[in-house]
Amino acid sequence: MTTAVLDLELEKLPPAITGLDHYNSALVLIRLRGRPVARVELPVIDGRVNHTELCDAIVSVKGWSLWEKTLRDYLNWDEVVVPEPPPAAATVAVCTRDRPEDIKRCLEALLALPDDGQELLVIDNCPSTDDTQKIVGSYGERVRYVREDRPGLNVARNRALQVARHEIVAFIDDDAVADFNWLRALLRNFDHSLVMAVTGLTMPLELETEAQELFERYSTFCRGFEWKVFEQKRHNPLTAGQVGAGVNMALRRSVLELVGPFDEALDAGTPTQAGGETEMFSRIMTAGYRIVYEPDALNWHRHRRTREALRQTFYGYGVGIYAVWTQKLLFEKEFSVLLLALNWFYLYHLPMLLRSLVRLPGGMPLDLIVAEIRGCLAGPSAYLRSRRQLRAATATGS
Amino acid sequence: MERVLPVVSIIIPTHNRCAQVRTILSRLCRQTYPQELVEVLVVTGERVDNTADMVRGLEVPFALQVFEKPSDGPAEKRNHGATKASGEILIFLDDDMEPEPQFVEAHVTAHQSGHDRVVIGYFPPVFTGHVGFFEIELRAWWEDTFYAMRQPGHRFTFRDMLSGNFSIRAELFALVGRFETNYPCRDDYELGIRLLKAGASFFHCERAKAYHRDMTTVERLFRRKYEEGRADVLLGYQHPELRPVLPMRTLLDYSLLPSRILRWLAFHRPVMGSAVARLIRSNMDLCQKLRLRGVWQKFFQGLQVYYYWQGVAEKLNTLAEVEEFLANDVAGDMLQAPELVLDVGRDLRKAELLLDKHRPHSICIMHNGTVLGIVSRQWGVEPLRGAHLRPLLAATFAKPLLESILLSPSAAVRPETQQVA
Repeated sequence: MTTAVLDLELEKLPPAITGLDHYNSALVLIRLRGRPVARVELPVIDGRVNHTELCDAIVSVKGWSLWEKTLRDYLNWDEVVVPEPPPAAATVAVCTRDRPEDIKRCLEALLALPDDGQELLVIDNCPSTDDTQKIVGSYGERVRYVREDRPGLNVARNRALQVARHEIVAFIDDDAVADFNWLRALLRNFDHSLVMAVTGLTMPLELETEAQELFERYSTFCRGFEWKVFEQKRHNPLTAGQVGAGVNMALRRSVLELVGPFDEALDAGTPTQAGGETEMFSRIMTAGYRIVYEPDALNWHRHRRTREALRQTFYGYGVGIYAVWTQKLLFEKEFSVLLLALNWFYLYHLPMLLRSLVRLPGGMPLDLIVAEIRGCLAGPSAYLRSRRQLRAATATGS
Repeated sequence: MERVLPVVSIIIPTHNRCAQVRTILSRLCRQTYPQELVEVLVVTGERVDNTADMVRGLEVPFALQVFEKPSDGPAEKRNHGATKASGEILIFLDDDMEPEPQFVEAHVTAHQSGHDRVVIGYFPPVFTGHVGFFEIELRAWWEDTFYAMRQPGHRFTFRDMLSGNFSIRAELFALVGRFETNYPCRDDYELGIRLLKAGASFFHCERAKAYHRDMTTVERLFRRKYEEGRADVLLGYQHPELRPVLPMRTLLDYSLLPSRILRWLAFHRPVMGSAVARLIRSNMDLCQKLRLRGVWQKFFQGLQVYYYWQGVAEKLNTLAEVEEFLANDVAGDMLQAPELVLDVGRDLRKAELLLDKHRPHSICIMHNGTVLGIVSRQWGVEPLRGAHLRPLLAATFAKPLLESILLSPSAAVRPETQQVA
């Protein structure tokens, strides 16, 4: 089972889409004058996508995004209505560890962004070779290289915030590719003083393996096509996963003083494996600030290709979420976490598990559910262990 | 021709805030505007601390005067400052503000681009102590208010008249009759109404920035809501056409059961109501400790409504009186025909220019011959301008406009560029 990922402009839909011979289905991103408005999934039959089916699927798309963008486009909104001045320059930070091919692809896309004076920064986290350094070096002055030897994605993120030269720092994963308008779309949402972070829409770069399709189906980064503002008044800060993901986010540097740095006991490179950005989002909301989800800030993520890596990812998510909740419960007295955990199990994991055991179609594969639940159970101890390790490392000065 | 820079008078009404006044004055020493063109008038109240003496003893590069008006409220102090001021432009600044260096210059520049302007500055709150749920709410309210005013399509209302940091030409201020002095609060809104009626145009200047050291507490806010209830009744008597837009209208029509119970208590059992309110208030701190955000929110909103009704009930003793009060507005204008008819299908830019030229209060909007809808006359709101058109079309008239665009034969022609898509 493979899915072709297509990117089509609504006003220039091709009359026929062919050449998709070894694909079973197509995931199509629809844009209106370059702005993402919808995604549709269609079967591919004999290597072709039926045009009528495509149009029908587009017209039946739920949500206001397509119509709102049509209207704003008609009213020439961006040229006439948006207030001046344009946002200031930003730093784009990529935290990476031993992924030379990915980082190369990522940087190529970043260098193709329109030049608004942004700084490109690579934080090389605990590298085992100097491949990344060489690759970054090949770009000369255009990309800045910083090495961070303490392991941990959140450690790297904090380093990025500290060394960035601009007020806004946009993060992108090393296995993601930025769309042309990605940075501008993120930056324009910082015009409200209470917005501390902006997240964007992430589509899959490819869906060539079953593992990638499963990831997209059950753990997609896509949060829809409607622009949204998250704040604690209307959204529970403890379920900050709905806000977005670290693969596509931008923060103000002042978050370091106003909210605090990323928790270095969390995320990849530590026993907790994930949850690093979720915890930060949660803290931003708890402090009374806002996070904007901007669907125009589009990037493309290459999901893990193998089933084993996918299982590991789901395990990592389980650990990460429970690690974040452990932190909230024990150190911020958020007692409602217990209720949340119970609800999540009861309303999500348990039905999924039962569906899978009874072999009902359309459910998440058993191995993934089990991996996530195992991760959840390991979460609290993983967090405490991670904190101990961090304290020990800080004490010995390493 | 070099334009002569005007003399500016900064009027600071104050009461018992010696340290804050010293801070403001030191900030005013660091302004980018020429100091010889600035005069500052501090108007103090009853002698509780030694603000007046402190001010008299200061060495500053601008003209500085202090007046002691022991029995006056803030409105009277501001009026007194205005009568003593010699400047062409008056800047009113509250005593808990900390102006940035470009503050005066920004106000003056804003006046140069328009004649009868009322310039509202930007004053985001800063908190010295712990930032809890209440401070978060307060900050959000202020920042949202300023954010809305910054949008180019914002249609100013009398509620945008914020007296903590605003400037106006001395002439215009005297012409409209200065502040009313019999209001416990909302005197700024009341001034805003008269300014709008006089045809003044409101303008928000982000660069005219002062940090607002907001020391409001929950108790003070609830007291304030009570005063607002009383003040709204006065506003309704002085400007009856505004009764439909007063908060009590919405609160009367759209209230959930808990709010309706609190309202009943405010009118019929005020003693019990106060006891219930105090109980709820004491529970709010517990909610915060337990991180029960939703519950805290509900308590907070509910109590604001309760104290507001308590204020209203002081002037209008029963709900029947409130109903009668609200019913006696000036509804006749609703039936008048719109002042202008615009077709936005042909040329949107031309429609905007027409609006800027005529500044109507009500319009009928059409698109290629189809009526989309009407913007009817509203009181206490500035007349329509060109910049209001597109936001209106994207919001209020979105659905009919989309239908018209998508279903009409000339839909492909976009009005700006006359391009066929």
